[in-house]
Amino acid sequence: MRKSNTERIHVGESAAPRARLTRRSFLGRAASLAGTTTVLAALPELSPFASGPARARAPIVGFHMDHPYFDPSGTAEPYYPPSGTRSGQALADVAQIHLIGQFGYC
Amino acid sequence: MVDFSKDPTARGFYAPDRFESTVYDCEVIGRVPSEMNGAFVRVGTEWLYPPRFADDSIFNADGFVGLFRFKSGVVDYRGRWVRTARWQNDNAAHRQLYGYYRNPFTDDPSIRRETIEKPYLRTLANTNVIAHAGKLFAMKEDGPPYELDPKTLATKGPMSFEGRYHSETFSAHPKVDPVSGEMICYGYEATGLASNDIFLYSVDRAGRVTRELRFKAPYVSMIHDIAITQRHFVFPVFAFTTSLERLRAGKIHWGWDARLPTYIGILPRDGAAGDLRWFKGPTRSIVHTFNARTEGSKVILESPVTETNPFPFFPADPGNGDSPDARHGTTIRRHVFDLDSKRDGYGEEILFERSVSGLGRIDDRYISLPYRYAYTGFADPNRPFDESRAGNLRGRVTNCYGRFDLRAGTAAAYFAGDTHTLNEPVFVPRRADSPEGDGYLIGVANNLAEMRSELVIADAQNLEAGDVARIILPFRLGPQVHGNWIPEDRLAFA
Repeated sequence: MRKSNTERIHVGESAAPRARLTRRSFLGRAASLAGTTTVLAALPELSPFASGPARARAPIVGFHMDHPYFDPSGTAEPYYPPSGTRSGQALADVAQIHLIGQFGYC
Repeated sequence: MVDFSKDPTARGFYAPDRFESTVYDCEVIGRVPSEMNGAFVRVGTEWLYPPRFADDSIFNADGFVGLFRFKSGVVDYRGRWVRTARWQNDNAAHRQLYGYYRNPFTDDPSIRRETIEKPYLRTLANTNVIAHAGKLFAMKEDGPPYELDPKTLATKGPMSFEGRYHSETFSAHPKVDPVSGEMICYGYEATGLASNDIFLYSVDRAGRVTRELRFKAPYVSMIHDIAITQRHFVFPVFAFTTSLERLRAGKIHWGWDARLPTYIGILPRDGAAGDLRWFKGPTRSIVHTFNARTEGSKVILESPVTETNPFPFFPADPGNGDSPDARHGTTIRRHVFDLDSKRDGYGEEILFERSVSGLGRIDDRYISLPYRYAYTGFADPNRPFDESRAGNLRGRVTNCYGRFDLRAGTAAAYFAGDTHTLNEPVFVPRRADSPEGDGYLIGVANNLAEMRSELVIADAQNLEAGDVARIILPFRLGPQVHGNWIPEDRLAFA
């Protein structure tokens, strides 16, 4: 049985603390191709695109029956949502106070 | 604190909504047919709290009902949670207490003892929503149905049919016989987790249980849907299976096992449990059926059928995977069972080569009767798709509805748009006495670019012409499993 310390969904743990985003890196990430790429880029141990020695396939987000799903095997065809704000990517990585400070929402 | 940020599937269009809503006089493009008076009711899944496991199934999310009320060309929308016992427990604890899809052994320790003993308490009522005997109820096959108020969608509570329904589970695909008006319903795993007991019931027009039959399946399987004819019940048993050993090991409820044959049970409607006959065939997945009929000594079943595992979130254990020779994709097939034959095999015919969605429907007035048309969605990669605005989903989304003429062998298609994915279609007769196929095909289309959902209405006899009307919601709807059209003389709507 899986351990019970699964209060939060697990896609793997990043070894490095997440760096504070600069405006340049935020805009660069917002212009990136795919939400999945962005998510996995924040978790270098799990990125299928990481260079280095051959490693086991990393989990990916697949798409089935008109809905995304988490594929631990990494064998499904990946789903890449459209880039930009409508994909929901990037915003999740940015502290709200930082976003407001950059774009003056309040 | 509710935090979905670590769920990579909860992004963009598929980010959680988690709100209830009422929209009066929805925006409409086109003109809503004035003869459509009633409601399109849909149920699906919405996570109140993030799932405990990354690879859990979306089928394990909380039930959420949406109702489009049609009256004289005006449409109102209302969306509400199905407040099951599970929903209420999670909400009280402000976190997800429940583990994997239909596996109480993976639940939070604070509830696990009770949910192992009474797994039906975990039901989410998120799979289908129908009306019978003046009541509206939502169902999931792992527990009792939940009654809803048709005016407000407030949750009234679980249904027990005055204590005469004894199965712990209630299928999400009861069948209402259009001739007798009775509802045929059943529960599998009827006596508890991983039991192979099936309890079958008849419920009359007034909602009274009039008959119960009990029998066993050849192996514990997902008997998600059945079919009825005027003379027989038809039970597909296919290669998803489970066991207490599997569940104690902490796995998701179902595992696909391509070594398992398909069994189809045929039982006379006026027979006893001992009259059940099992036919046996090659590995298939028959999650849903279109319809069945009895012709002489033959029972004929038509369904969307897959030769491989249709649900990647219910994977096979090592060694149990699909044969490399198995055909991929779902196709509309006919199975013929000869009750005069002494052999347990049956014939199979692929009726249309096109790969289709497994969510298929017919004109429900023809359930159990000879019929002509089957309706289902499909992905047409040759239609336009704007990947820059909707993602890399060309050929991977249901972008068309098809009307499949089982008599002529022809098909017609409706196309939803270049950034759209379609939920299950539902056929709505133009009038109660219209001939088969004369009516509308309706369903929810998700507009991935505009981040909103739209209820499309097409002329079922002229699908290629496009919408007659498109009802616009200013927000996304969550995933849908099934929906139904309920005429206004069937329920006391607002």
